[in-house]
Amino acid sequence: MPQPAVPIAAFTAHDVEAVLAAQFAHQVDITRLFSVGVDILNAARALDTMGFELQLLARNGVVQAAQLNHGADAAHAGEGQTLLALAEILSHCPRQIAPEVAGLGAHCRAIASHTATCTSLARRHTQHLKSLLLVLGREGGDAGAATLAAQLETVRLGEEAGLVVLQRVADGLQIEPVVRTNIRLIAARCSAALRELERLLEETGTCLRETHGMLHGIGRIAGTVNYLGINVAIEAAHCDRRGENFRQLAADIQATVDGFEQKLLAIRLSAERGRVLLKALGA
Amino acid sequence: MKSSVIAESGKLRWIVLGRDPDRNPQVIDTNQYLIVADGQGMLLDPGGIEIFPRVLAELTRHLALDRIRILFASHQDPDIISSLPLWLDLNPEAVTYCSRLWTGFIAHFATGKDARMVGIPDSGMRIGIPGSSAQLLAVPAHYCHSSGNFSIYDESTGTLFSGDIGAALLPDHEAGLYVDDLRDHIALMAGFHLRWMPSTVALRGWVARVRALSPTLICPQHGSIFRGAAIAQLLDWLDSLEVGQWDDGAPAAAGKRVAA
Repeated sequence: MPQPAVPIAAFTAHDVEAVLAAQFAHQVDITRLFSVGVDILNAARALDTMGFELQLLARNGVVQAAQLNHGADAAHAGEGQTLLALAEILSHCPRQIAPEVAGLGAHCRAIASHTATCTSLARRHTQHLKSLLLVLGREGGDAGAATLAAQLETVRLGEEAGLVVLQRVADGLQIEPVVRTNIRLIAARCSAALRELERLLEETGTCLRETHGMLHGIGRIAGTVNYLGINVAIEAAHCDRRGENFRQLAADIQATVDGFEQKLLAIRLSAERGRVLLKALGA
Repeated sequence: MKSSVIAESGKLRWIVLGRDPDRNPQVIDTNQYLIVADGQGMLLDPGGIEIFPRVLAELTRHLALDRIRILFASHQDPDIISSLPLWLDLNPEAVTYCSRLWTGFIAHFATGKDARMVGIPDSGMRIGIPGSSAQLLAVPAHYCHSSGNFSIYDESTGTLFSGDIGAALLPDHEAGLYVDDLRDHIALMAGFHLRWMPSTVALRGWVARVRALSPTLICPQHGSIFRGAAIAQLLDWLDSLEVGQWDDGAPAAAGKRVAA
């Protein structure tokens, strides 16, 4: 059943500005979401680099431990065995982390890409919506009795329902056919933009949720590396002067793991900000 | 924003859209021109993102948006064509014509869309509006002011869109749509031409090409439209200019000419 046309009268510049101000706030939230996407992507790239550093440290550890074992005299025989075993276990960790980090990177790239598209889309949508309101304001004039201002509330949320209301407003106006056609075209464009925004925001939300699971897996491996690093430090302490290189190695592992955990935390916090923004955007 | 029909011949109309009283004062005032031929449209220098809503709102009076077949950019500046993605959102099939020098640059405005671009060769070309019999002529205007620059001439009405040539910075939106006498208008144009135009040779070449066309209207992208006696006065004035000038405040060197 066709919806009744909405009469229009006090469609003032003030009403239009109020709608556009709300629309602008919506647009700003989407831009903030893009900034979150970029933060996450940068942190993921840093993780990738750290994963490589960790790999180098582990390989260095294997070589050092092998040398220690090989050059040991009778008094220190077997000293390097434990370190070699630790270094070899350690050398497997980067290989475990690499695919996890790569998967996280793919999600982070998707988040950054989706949110970048959303930013551009929202900006264009605002300009199209502004055009639509200007045409309705111009064509509405003083005809009708009720004010449109209250009905414009629905447009503020950037939801498609608001556009349906605007379309009904247009249907109630005595206007030239070409103007009516153009109102429909602009409204259709606005609706399509909102649907695309909704889809991208939903996909962003899915990526953020999956990111959360991946962070847990990477954090677990980082914890193992940390534990191995501590063991290397303990073993190195028993090696007197010959363990100096391992003490340095343990310190380097600790620093890398600390950096890793900081980046993981940064991603978690950014993802949380992203979820809050998505909620505000109604996604 | 206002719009007026400025020329008409059979089923072809030229419409100017401009003089926006609500324009953000930070944004330079621009004229947009719409050619409607047999119900099909060509939009000349569609304008910047900032003014897009008002241009679009005004344009809705004249033509169904899905009938805009061609977007023409005289050159690559943001006030000319940064609204490109917004027009393509409404009509993805529209073809954008610009100098071959700028296709790759203007595509940056398209924000991820596959803009259908036609690079106009340096010597110019005829541009037909699809679905109509209208044929427009892209007249070279290189270095006036951009290095890849075109005017558009319509033989049927004698209307020439001149882009930044003849452009003036008007005091307000109440300024007249037409220039009938150039004398008072020169002050509004002088700085614009002396500083923005880099080549006297190029400008005089354009004047010679335009004299050969004998237009009845010259329509710049900024300011008022030239008609009647003002056309010859404008061309004579442009011929008299030594452009590409910049007064750096230093004592004038021998042979250096500074804008009067």
